Amino acid sequence: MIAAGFYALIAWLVLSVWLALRARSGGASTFWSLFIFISIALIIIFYFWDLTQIKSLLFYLFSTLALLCAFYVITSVNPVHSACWLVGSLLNVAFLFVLLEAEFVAAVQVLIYAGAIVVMYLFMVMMIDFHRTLDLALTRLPVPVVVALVILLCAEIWYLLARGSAGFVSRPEAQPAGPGDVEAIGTAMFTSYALPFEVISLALLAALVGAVLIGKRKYGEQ
Amino acid sequence: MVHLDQYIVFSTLLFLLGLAGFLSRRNLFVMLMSLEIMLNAANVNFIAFAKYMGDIGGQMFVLFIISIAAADAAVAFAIIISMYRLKGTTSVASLRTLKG
Repeated sequence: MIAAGFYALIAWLVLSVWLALRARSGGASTFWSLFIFISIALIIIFYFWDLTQIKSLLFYLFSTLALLCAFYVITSVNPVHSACWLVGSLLNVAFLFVLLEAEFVAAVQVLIYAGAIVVMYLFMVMMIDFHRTLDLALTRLPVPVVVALVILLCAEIWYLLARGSAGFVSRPEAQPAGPGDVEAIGTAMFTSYALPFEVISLALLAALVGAVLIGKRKYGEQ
Repeated sequence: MVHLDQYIVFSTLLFLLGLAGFLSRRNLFVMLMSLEIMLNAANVNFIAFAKYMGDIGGQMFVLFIISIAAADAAVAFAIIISMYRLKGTTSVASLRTLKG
């Protein structure tokens, strides 16, 4: 019953967002529908105050929102809108990381992915003249081919999962009652993973030098 | 209780969304963002396995993936800038010099 109500709310949210974008009535109706949706979701969460149910509900909430935002990333006409939806998708995935008790990685994702890479993207958008770069009509692969490919890969993953998780041993909910996430990552990073850590710093240096070199204007060019 | 399979399904769907965007859009910016979505989906998969196997290695690898994704985004943007200076557009359809 909860799942049905949840999916009904999701459908209502998608419909209102689609109508708002189609009617170009501005962000007001989208904002209100998001607000009402989040408040109803919070009421449901506080009503079912049981940890396993809350975790399941939050998983469905954040995963559906992340998929929705990713869908709007790839189907927006304006790339700046795609960047905004990408930030939404990254934030929802960061919430999923917190659900999975990986708080440090969630913070790193928000800081670096949503906070540095997307900002760098927006700098690019500022530097490049936009009116000549909107691709509206044609796509590279036709959309039916892409949809068929996606359905094929979905079917493959479905088959593999339906055959049973026979390859690995998975504990349902491994509860680490020991150190927190930052302490565990710090301990592992500087003992077992010290060499990849140094290599990553070298790789970042190489990328920095390469990016500056490629983006430089040649001497004498306007 | 959320099973591991649900996280696998979610990361697969997110990856396929990024793949669909990468294959079907002609604008280089949106292609790069679909690439970020694909890497993000792999991150979710790693973290889910790190939680359900009790191994911290998944989270370590996610940190490395995030830093390498930042590095390759920087280089890709530099390439886009120089391509825009050369061609005057950021549409992939303008890169046809290798086409036979």
